[in-house]
Amino acid sequence: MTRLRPITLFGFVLVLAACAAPATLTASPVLPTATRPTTGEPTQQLAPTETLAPPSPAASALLPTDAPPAVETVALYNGLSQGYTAEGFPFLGDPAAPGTLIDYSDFL
Amino acid sequence: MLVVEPDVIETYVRPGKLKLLFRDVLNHGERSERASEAAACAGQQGRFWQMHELLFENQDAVWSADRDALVTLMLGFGAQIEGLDQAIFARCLNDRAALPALQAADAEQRARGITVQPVFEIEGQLYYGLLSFERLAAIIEEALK
Repeated sequence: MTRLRPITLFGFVLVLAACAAPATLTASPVLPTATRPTTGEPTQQLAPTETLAPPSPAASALLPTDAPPAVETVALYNGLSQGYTAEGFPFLGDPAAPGTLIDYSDFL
Repeated sequence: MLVVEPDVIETYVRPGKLKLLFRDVLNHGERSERASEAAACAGQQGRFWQMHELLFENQDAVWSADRDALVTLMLGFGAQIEGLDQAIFARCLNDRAALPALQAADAEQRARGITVQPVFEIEGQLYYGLLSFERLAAIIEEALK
């Protein structure tokens, strides 16, 4: 009876492992957690070659489950004019209104 | 502004006393840029304010998204806006054509000392930080006299 050397057995195990079915990756519905950046952090830019596709159902799945539906979002602005000033800034309301309130804000 | 915005709109904007103008402040790197670009891209199709509302309502999602998910998130917001052409919106985000103007405006504002948010301006006077609706209303009423 031939006795297998330990190194041969180890090689056999490696071959078996390589032939095993690959693990199935499951997309996690949980968004990766990022550390809240501080003001003035260096700006990262996406690679210019990146191509964006129109949103897929998966994109909508990234939204929080309590995200407001579009109909509620629109309601606040129903019947109001939207436009851009000559300088290119968006405004809401009558462009001829006697007063202008400018809101300087970050979306974050 | 988000907290008092509905009151400002119903009290002053809807009756035609004020128009509300938004100017982007880019304080948080790519997250700020991507959010402002999404608003600008929606604005190209006449839906800036709808995106503006979605972004403020979903700030936590924007904060927690990593770089790749951030872009996908903006596309997801766009998908929630009725009547927004998704292909045009995606192309606008991809081209990043809105970014230079946003950065230039932010630089001009910073030169004027606008480095925090929110800041309000009415009749050339700047007001820094959050204001209650009552305080803001008093300022507006004085300015409209």
